[in-house]
Amino acid sequence: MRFATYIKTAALGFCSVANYRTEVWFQVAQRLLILSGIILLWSVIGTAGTGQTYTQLIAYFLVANGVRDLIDAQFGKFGSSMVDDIKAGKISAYLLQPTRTVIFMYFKHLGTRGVTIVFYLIYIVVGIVLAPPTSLIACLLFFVVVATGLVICLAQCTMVGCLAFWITDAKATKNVVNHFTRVLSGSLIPLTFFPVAYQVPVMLSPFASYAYLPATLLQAEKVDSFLFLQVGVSICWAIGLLLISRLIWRKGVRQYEAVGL
Amino acid sequence: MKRLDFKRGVKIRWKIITSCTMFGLRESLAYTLDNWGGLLSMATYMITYLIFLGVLFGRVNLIAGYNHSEMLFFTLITQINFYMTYVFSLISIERMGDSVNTGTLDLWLVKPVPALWYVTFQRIKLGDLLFSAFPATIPLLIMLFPRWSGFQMNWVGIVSGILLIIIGQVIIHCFQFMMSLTAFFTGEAKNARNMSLELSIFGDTIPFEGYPNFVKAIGLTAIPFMVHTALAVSFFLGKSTNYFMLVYAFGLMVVFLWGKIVLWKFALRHYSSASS
Repeated sequence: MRFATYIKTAALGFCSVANYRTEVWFQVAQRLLILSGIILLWSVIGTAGTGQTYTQLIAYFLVANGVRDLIDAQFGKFGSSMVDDIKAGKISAYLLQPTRTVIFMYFKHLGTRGVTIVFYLIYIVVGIVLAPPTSLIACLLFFVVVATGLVICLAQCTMVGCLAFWITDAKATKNVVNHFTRVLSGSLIPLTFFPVAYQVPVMLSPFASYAYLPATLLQAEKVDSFLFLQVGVSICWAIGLLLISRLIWRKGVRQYEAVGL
Repeated sequence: MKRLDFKRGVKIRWKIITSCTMFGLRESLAYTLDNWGGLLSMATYMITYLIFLGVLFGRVNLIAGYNHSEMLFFTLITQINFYMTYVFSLISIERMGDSVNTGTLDLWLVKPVPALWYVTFQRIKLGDLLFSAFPATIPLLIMLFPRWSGFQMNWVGIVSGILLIIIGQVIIHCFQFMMSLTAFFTGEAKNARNMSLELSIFGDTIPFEGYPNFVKAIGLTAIPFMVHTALAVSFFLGKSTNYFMLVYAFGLMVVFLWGKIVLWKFALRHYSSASS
């Protein structure tokens, strides 16, 4: 019953956006433009420093950007929608419903991304076609990392969104996190470009699960111990951040009740 | 009589600009915490972009013929252009799209002021420029300062560059405005506006010399993303000296201004109020 409610909420969110079809196409074209900008930049920089062919590099950026956008890690818009709902007091109505509020809000937000999600899947498929994966284990780990990336992003957005319980408008904080995500996720620049001293910390950061790790897994010829380590760390980040985000949410709701209801 | 009308027209337009700027400034000062948040966000963007450039130039020496110092200067002009677009154009365009969606435009249209002028300049957030944008650029200026003497600049190039920034800003404003007019036909223009912004800043990552010819042709005609940053920096640094481009850019600006007026009138004829 509860899950059916979430699905209905997502469908409702989808319908509210699908009313403006032209807007959906503009959104798709906008993302395509951003990706073509990155590809153009790398066509100018060249592939000499990457150890990859140009096709592999394009495939990397297609998968990296596809996964990042699929899990909503580029702008973390779930965080914005949470901030808006808390700021406008809409959350009072959600809290009264017999649903898990964060999941309900997430599905509501997910529905509004319906059309674009299909588009990001196409990104990933084209990337796979351009540089087909060669390792079955790496492919399986890819799905694990996409799932952990999704959980990390959900936790990150929840934590940022919850700040609105204390400071009302937390959009600037969300933007700060997004700026770090942009560079440290590997969607703009492969993390192998970082100086050797910084490579390991950056690759083991939670942001790497948004783009670099999934894209690298799909292009890996064999899964070495460091890749296993990265996947393991990604799972740890997902569990850890999810727990922290739950704690912050509960604390925030208590704060909200004390002030608002 | 006609001269009197002209003077009155100029006077009311100047009054609109000053009033909207003062209101925007008061609005910015009213939300102190928001200013700090904006500053933090802009400063973080700047720092992460400088990290990106640093990492990139750790592996390559030149990008489209530009070294690290020249790319930092390119980034400075990119930032100046972005802040100018945001402060002088984007906020007003955003409000126009929302006003069509909610029906607030009705109220604006009945005001005894030139409607297009009012819609264009209704909110100039000078406070954001002074309290967020400028301080956020300081890390970049600090990095650029010791490298300044290495640039091959001359006065003609500098004046041309400044002119191209101004002309380019007018052009991309008109372009963004025209794309946002889709709100009159579809009821919503949020993504159209975002798309127009992305198109406008498409030329803000790679120097002018790095683009293939067909991209340059598009960027200097239908989708004018080349003039305000890429071409301007090329003139600043003395890499372009074809001054015919200045005349061409001016002509392009006139065409886009004309297009903006024509499309505005066309959109108004198709406006069905959301509030009535």
